[in-house]
Amino acid sequence: MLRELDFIESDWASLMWALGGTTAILRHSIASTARSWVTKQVDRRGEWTPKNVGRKAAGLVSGVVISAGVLAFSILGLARLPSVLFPARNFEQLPWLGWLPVLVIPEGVFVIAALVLWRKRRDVARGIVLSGVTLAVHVIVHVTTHR
Amino acid sequence: MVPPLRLSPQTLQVLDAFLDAPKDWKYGYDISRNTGLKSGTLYPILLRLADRKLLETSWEATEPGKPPRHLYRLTPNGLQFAREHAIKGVAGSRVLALRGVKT
Repeated sequence: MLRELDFIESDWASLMWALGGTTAILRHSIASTARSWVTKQVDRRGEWTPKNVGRKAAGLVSGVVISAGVLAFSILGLARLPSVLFPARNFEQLPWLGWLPVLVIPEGVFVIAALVLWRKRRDVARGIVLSGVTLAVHVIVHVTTHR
Repeated sequence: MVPPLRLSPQTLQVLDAFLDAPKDWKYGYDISRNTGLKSGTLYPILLRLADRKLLETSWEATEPGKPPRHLYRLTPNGLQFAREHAIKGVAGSRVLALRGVKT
C-alpha cells in the first residue's frame, strides 16, 4: 500500500490513496479486534454455569477470609510485638508505628499474595484485592473524618 | 472461522481485473486503475480474497531503504471461483441475483 505511493502520478492522488489505505487498515484492525472480542465472549459464556459461579464465589470468600485473618493477626499480634520484644523502650512516642500493623503490613501482604495467586487462584486473589481496597478506603475515610 | 465472501459489484470488478491475465502478478495501484476503485475500497476486497485463499500475495524486493511492493495473483481456487462468478456487465448481477448470491 505504502510503496504504491511512489508510482502515483499526482500529489493529490497520492494523498487520497494514502487516506484510503489508512482507512482500510483501520477498518480491518477494528473489525478483527471486534471479531476476536466477540469470539472470546462467546467462549467465556460457558464459564457462567451454577457450578462455576459457586466455585468463583467460594474463591472470593476464601480470599476475603484469608485477608481478614492476616489483618487480625497483624493488628492483634504484631501491634504488641515491639512492646513485648523491647519492654524498656517507649513506643507510644512513635505514633506512626501504629500504622504499620494496621495498614502497611497487611496491605503489603495483600499485594504480594494477590500477585502470587493471580495466575493460579484468581478468585482468591480477587477476594484479597477486594479486602485490600476495602481496608484502604476505610483508612482514608477514617483519616479524613477524624482529623 | 472466515465468514462467507460477500460478492459485491466491486469484488466482481476486482475478480474481472485478475481474469484479464490470470497468471500475472498485479500491483494494488494497477488494479485500482483498471477497476476505478479507490484504495479504501480495493484493499479490504484484496484482504478478504486473500483470507479465503482465492488470492496469493507476494512482496516484491526493491532497493534498500524502500518498503517492498505487494503483489497479488489468483490461486487455482481463485481462478476457478473468478471464472464461475465474475460475469461482466449488468447481466452478471442479474444472473447472480437469480443464483441467490448476495451482492
